[in-house]
Amino acid sequence: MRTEDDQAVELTRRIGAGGQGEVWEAGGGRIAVKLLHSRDQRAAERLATQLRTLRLLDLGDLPVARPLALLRPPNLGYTMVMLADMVALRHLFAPAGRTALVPWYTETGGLRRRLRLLGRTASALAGLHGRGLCYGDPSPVNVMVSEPLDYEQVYLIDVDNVAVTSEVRGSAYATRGYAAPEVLAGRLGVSSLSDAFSFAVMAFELLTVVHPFVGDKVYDGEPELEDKAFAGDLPWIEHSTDASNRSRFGLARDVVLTSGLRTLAARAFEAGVADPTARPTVAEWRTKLYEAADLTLACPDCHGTYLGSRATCPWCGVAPPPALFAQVLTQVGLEAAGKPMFAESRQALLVQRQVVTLVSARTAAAAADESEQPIVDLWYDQNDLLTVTNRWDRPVWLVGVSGGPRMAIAVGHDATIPLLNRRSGWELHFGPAHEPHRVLRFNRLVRRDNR
Amino acid sequence: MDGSTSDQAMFQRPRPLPVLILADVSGSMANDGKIDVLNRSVATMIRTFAAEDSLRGEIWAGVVTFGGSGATLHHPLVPAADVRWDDMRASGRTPLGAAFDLVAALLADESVVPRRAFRPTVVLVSDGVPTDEWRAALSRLLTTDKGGQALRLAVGVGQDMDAEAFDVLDHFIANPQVKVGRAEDVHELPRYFDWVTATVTTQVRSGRVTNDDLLDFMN
Repeated sequence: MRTEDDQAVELTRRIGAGGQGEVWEAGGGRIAVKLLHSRDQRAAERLATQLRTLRLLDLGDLPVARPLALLRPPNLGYTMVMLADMVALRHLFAPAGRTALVPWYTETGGLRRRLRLLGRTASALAGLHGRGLCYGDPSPVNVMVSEPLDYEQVYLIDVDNVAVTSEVRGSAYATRGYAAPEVLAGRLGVSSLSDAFSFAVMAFELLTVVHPFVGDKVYDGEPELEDKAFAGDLPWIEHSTDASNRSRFGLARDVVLTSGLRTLAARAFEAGVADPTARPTVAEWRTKLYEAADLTLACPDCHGTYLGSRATCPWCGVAPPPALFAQVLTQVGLEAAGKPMFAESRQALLVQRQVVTLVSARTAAAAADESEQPIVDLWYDQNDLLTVTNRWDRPVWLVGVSGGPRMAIAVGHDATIPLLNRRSGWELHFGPAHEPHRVLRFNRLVRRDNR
Repeated sequence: MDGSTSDQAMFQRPRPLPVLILADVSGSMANDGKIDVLNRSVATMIRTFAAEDSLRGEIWAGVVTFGGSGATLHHPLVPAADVRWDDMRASGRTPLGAAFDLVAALLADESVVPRRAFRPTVVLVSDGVPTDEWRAALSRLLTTDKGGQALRLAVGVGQDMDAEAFDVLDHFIANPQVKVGRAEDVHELPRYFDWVTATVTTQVRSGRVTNDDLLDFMN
């Protein structure tokens, strides 16, 4: 097949298929092709208009596949920019064959990677929403993620459903199982609020490995009952008062979801079913997902990751590894006496012994843009020493709590502190004393090891 | 609830979308290489089904043959990925009525087609007029729940198909929106199965299996 501007396109591998069409890899992985099933004139005109509009939009550096060219008839579709080594998020949703759930969950990146990938997906959607756009059809086949487990990139494809928020479009494409009830019923067009619903379903399902509306009676029942569930006519599986659609499937909810994430899910799937404005925004999801990821530990035994609040590894029962607890604060200014004033937060991160912990701009600078930019690496070694390596473009400071010594770490340098041999803790400041800035306070050890 | 959750956790299987092939293996199917082309076409279709990777639906495939002196379950209905294809061989008569009764029994058995399954698709392939009493068997099939709901497709293959033989296929489809497939030249048969494949995969991807949605594929 060829594009309108007469470039040859050779399809190499099918990346995904949905009700609307198929997405193929082409040109050695740098290009992807969306092929629509429908080839009628109306669909062709709609797509051409849509792509023209998209090219005019400033999408900044959002991880969204930019459309390149329309395909030449008789094919209907378009080419888009693609990243190499990406697979659909769908591959992390359910094992294909007859395999045990927990080992599969760990082998595909476990809880921490899922939290981070979802955080980045929420961040990309929030970026669109911030520009007055909505994505239209968030689903596990439209979100591409890095295939290698040590990479965590996210890339949204299928931009032909992107729309201007609040535009009423009854013919919006809706993926069964993910579309918001009002979109599925054709009552309203897509919006940031319908994106938020679809995202909530994806987040809950990816983390717990059970769809929030597919309770046991839906799973065992006729397909028509599932239609009712997806339309929001049945309670979700964890409904606070109506237990009629509970599910025996999936991972224990309190093992994979923090209370903050459970609260967001309950808002999305109870009041948020009928009232789109009651749903948490994707930005709220982003915050809670990243906060949860920052509090995970990696089990030295089974390599599964889990929330550090647990007494033992939920996947294998082994005791947790030693880790430092670092509270995230904001120094808002100085009192008259020169004493720093802090704004407390409930945010924290765990620094596991002998695991590099990367602190990014998201934590160190409360930055929404470039949030994954590395600021410092933390290395907590077996002699209870903490090494801070400055990877930023400006100095950071180590400060002893309550007027202790103050030590600058220059760009590209590191410093080691004898963290646990003293009673008093240390703080890591991401800015000079006279400016508001973020602070990490290391003041307690979560667990010593069992030696 | 602390402790290991590894032992109890289960995941949900996708909802099955059953596809039953109802294949004529009477002696005449051995002529003009018809049975060979049919074997290749069905095997290819099942391989394509197996490669479908949909979160909410999974295509299951099974084959009922009719020939010799009766109907046989050539391949039981299982996930397409689990089918190890075994070629069909042609011999004997065309006992379609017996095949209808076998299909009706299979569809009604919840251990074969679970209650949670999507509406089944049944594809009838034949090259001539049945040799047994098929009308009563067909009306029994069409009055069962699953047999009546099923998307029924049919194709006539070869030069021996006459008006009477096509009439049988029409009665089986019993839906004015769906036309009988015609493969007078046996080499048109693979194309018909490509169309069946596209119809089924589109159903499983969209999760929508109503007749209205199929109209798009009928032209």
